[in-house]
Amino acid sequence: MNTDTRETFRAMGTGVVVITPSTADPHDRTQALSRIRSVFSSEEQRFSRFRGDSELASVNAAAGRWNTISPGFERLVRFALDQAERTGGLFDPAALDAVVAAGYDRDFDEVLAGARGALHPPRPCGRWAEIEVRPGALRLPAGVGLDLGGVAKGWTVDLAIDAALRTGLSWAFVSAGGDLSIAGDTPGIDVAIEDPLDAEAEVVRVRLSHGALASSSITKRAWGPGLHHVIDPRTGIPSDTCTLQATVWAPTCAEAEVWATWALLTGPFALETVSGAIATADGELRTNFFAVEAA
Amino acid sequence: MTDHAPTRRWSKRIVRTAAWTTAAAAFISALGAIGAAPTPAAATQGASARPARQKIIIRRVIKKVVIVDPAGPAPVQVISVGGGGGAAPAPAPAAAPAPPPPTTGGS
Repeated sequence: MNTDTRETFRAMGTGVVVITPSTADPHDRTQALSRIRSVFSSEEQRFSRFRGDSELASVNAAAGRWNTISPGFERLVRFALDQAERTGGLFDPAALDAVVAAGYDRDFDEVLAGARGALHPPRPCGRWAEIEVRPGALRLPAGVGLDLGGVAKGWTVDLAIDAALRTGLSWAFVSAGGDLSIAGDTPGIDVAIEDPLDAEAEVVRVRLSHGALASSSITKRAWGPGLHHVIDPRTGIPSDTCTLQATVWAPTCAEAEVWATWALLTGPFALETVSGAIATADGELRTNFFAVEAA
Repeated sequence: MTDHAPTRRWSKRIVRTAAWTTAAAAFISALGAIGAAPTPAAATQGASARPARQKIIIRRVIKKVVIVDPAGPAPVQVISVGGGGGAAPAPAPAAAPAPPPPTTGGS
């Protein structure tokens, strides 16, 4: 890894890390970085729920009636609805009201600073099944809002990787706040899985040769006891389980993001279905990642 | 007709000197009173009996890593547990220390 080139920038409210081979043609690398930044910029404009001028904001504002949507928006919504079905509704892209009711009603930095509205009673989830999509248009049920934050981030990482490889790079690695992916003829990248209660400490270090990793945690984006951003659609309130953090591998980052949420809500039994690492409050990290030289 | 005894007027200089002397004496006596007043307990504790600064120890929540059977083929290998990368294959010598690896830990 020591010869690879690393670039960082901020987008989607988080840090983005791009690693490319140092042997790459400088022109290709520059072009790849430019395209990656452009992808993040355009997808943030499309999917941010904190920007009043985003496409997501206009779609949510038009709940109850048909609204024109861009092809990029339609692709992610169709993906999200498909994943909601596959996860039995544990991944719910229409849980916006519930997360707002729990207090995450503005940019997270402002929430942390204590600026938020009053908490509200739990809101029912599961209305994603009522969302209608047809080519170029979407209709949300009245009173339902989309929140594509996490999955949009993973989706954007996938788009960024594709954009980078199209410039001629032999491989590329992109991470957006820990949702990460590597593709191409890769040497493998070492990734540290953080301790859920101490982001400075790594619990396990893994080598990712291709595909994506994403984590979901109730200790990040938390603003009070029992208050965090992972809504359990079964209750409509922030999840209250012994699972603190779930890291999942999947072929794409968007899938990894979805299944990390599912694993967090499912608990350690999720490892019978997905490849990942699950940290619980009793101090264990269970993983079914292939152990080469684990201590 | 009334005779007034001639009043003795103090010179401006004497009046000014007396005023300054009185003011200075009042100021000094006020300082003395403040100095003699008992110090509040909290301030005393902070000044002389301050306890040694407590070292904050972040206790890692993860005490044990358990490797279980794979659910399916995934190109992810555990190369070290507990940080530090001790079990990782040694990288090629580099002029500068390698940057820390990217991390994942939830959003």
